[in-house]
Amino acid sequence: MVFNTGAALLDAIVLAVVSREPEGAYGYKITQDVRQVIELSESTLYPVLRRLQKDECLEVYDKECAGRNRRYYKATEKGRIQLNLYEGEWRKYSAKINSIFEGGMM
Amino acid sequence: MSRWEFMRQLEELLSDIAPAEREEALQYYNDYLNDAGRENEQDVIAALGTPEQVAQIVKDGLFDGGNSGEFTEQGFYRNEQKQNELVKRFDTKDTTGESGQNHFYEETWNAAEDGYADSTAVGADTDKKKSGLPTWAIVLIVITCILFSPVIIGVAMAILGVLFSVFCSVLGIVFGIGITTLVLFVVAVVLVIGGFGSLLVSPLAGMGLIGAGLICAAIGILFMLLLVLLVGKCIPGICQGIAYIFGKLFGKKGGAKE
Repeated sequence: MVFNTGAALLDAIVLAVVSREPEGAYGYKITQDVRQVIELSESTLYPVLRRLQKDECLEVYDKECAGRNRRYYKATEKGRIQLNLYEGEWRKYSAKINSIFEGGMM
Repeated sequence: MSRWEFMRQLEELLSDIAPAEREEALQYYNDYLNDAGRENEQDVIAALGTPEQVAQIVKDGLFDGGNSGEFTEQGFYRNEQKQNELVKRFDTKDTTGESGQNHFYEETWNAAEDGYADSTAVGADTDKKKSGLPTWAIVLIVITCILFSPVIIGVAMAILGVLFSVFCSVLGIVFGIGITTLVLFVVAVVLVIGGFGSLLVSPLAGMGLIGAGLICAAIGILFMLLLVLLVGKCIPGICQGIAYIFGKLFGKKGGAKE
C-alpha cells in the first residue's frame, strides 16, 4: 500500500474490528482481520492492544477453548465512544480528501 | 527455530521489564501461536520476526504514548529514537550489577543470527530467571542520585542560566531594532512636516528636507522588515531549539506533544 497508517487510524481500525464481535475477539483473529484491510506485520498488534487495554478502551477476559485458556479482547463503553469519535473524524477527513480528488474545488 | 526456542528467547529478552508486562506479552504470543495452529507454526514464527524484534516491539510499546510512530508495510516506525535510548540506558544500569548476564545475551543473539546453532547448548547452564531490577540495585541508584544531587542541580542551574541569557540577549536585540525603527519614523515625519513648512520660504531647502525625511522613512521600513523577520522566524526557531534540547534531555516529558 502507498499510504501509511498512523497510530490513531490503526487504533480506530482495531477498535472497529473488535467491537464487531459482541463476545470480543482474540489476538490472532484480530490480527488476521486487520491484515485484510491494511498491510501490517504479524507482531505489531500486541503493543496496540496492550495500550488500548491500558487506556480502558478494551477489556480482556480468558475463555476456555479446546482445553486451554484463550485471551479475548472486548470493547468497553469508553472504547465504543472512542470509536464513534474516530468514525466521525474519519468521515470528515475522507470527505475533504475526496472533494479535492473529485471536485477540484472546495 | 522451534516454537519452544522462540518463546524461551523471548522470555529471556523480556526479563528486564515488569513481570506483569512480561507475562502479558508471553501469554499473547503463546496464544497467537496456539491459534495459528500447529501446521502453520513455522510460517507464523517466521512472520513474527526474530525474538529480538518481537521483544523490541513489546518494549517500544511500553514507553509509547501512541503518537510517535507510524505503521507501514515493513512494521512499526518511530519518528524519534528517544524511547529506544531509554531502554538502552535501563540496560546499562542493569549491567553494573550482573556483568556476566549480558555477555550471555550477546552470545545467544549471535548464535541466533548464525542460524540458531548451538544456542541450546549455551542456554542449558543458565536457567536462572532475572526478575526485573533487584532491590539493592534500585536502592543503589537512589543513593547515587542523592549523593550527586549538588552536581546535578548545579549543572541544571547552569543550563537554565545560559538559556535565560540567550533569551535576554535576543530580547535586547529585538528591543534595540524596534526603538531604531520608531526613531527613524519619528524623524521622517518631523523632516517631512518641516520640509513642507519651509517650502514656501525657500523651496530648495524644503525639498531637501522632504527628501531626507522620505529616505529616513525608507530606512525605517527596512528595519521594520528586519524586526518582522526576527520575531517571525528566529524566535520560534530558538524556542523550538530549546524545546528540542529539553526533549532530548528528559525523554518523553519535554518532547513532542500533539
